[in-house]
Amino acid sequence: MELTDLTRWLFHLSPYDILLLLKGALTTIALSVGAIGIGSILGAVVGWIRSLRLVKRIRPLWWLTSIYVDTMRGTPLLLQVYFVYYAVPVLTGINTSVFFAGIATLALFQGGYVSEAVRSGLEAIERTQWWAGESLGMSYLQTMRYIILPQAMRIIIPPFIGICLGVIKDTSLVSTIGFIELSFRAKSIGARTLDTLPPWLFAAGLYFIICYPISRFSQQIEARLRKKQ
Amino acid sequence: MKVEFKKVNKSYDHLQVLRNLDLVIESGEKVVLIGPSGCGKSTTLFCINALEPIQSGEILVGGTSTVSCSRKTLRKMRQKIGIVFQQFNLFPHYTVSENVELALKVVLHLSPQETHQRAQKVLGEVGLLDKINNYVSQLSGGQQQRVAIARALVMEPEILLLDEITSALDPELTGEVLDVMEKLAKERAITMIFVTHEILFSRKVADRVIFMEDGMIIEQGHPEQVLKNPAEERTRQFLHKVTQHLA
Repeated sequence: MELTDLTRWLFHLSPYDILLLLKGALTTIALSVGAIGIGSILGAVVGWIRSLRLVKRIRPLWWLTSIYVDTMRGTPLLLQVYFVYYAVPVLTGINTSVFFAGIATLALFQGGYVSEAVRSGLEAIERTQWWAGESLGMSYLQTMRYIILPQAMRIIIPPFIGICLGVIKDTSLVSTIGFIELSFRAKSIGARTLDTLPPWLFAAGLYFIICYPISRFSQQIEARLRKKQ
Repeated sequence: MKVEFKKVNKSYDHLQVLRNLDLVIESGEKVVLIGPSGCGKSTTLFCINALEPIQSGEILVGGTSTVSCSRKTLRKMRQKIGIVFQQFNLFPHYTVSENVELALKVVLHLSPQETHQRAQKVLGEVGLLDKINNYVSQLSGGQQQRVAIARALVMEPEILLLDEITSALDPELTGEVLDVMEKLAKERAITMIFVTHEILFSRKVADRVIFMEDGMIIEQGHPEQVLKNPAEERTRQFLHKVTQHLA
């Protein structure tokens, strides 16, 4: 049996189309890694700022960060993608490429959710743990590094992994502005071959292969954290 | 190390807890603070190492103000002021030895050998050498409080603040902690300030007992005088209530 016959028999797809879908999956992974990387750093910084007692007392600072977080969490990602790609050039005169619009929107979106996970993780640690560190002569950074963060991470990691899984699947939305990732490939192949189900099923399988190990890893992390407590 | 309060006022929002407090505790003195709940005893302790800020007045520790000094100076002073909290405040993600050794490594930057030696010594003093690899959640309340004492002592403080260290314990566990404290009070020349309701313990270890109410000192003096023959009526009423269940 030739390769073409095998792939058609198994997946109702040509080897060329399977290759395109695999390339799309790689682009999805690259986009996810970029967005999660940038978004996590942004979210960690914003979440840390929002956990500070000083910021809660100075209301304008709180409002500033709230505008960002509440907008990201309160509006559909699809609208955010369209806004960055179509509205930002009109409002600012700056041309945004598909690549920039895709990664920037996903990173900002991820950051909004991560910031809340980080904020609640840090706030969940009792103030008395800060006192214990400070009373031993530790600086703010030492107390954060050795006492607060290790405890806060146990609270932050499970929802953080869930947010990352969401972002990986949400990369499909940037296909609407022409970003050539996995969903875009599936849509294109379906339009060309006039047989839409096989490429979408294959794409779904690839999304599952990407997400399942992360989901299992999250369950293992949660089990280990429960055990240690 | 000497501790001085000069006209200290401290409030939590609109609730004043310390009112023009003047207090001098000499170096090496063992002082017990007693009084009804909310009278400012614990707050007095927390103000000494600036865990709680004050609104006015001055607090001098070893001649240095904890109010106007730099953050760096305050951190250095805190290395010499040990505090043991009512709720222990141990680090749940570390073992007993890690709890005790952490500040030696991170703050004092001691070598692993010296860190280990000092930790072993204080854990031996509090009778917990067999628990060094346990996590704190695996210990009883009395054992956890002894770890907290060891963690404070390992820094070789010149002042030790102890905030109701037996209040969170079951009655049968308080004895082991009080025994450790009695031994420390007798053997160490450091300044010790206790907040406690343990009147019998206070009689044994205190050089001076101070009765507080509404953020002010009502009476102070030798334990025999304050606890047996208080001059103030309010002190008498308080002691009567505290000791009547012991009869």
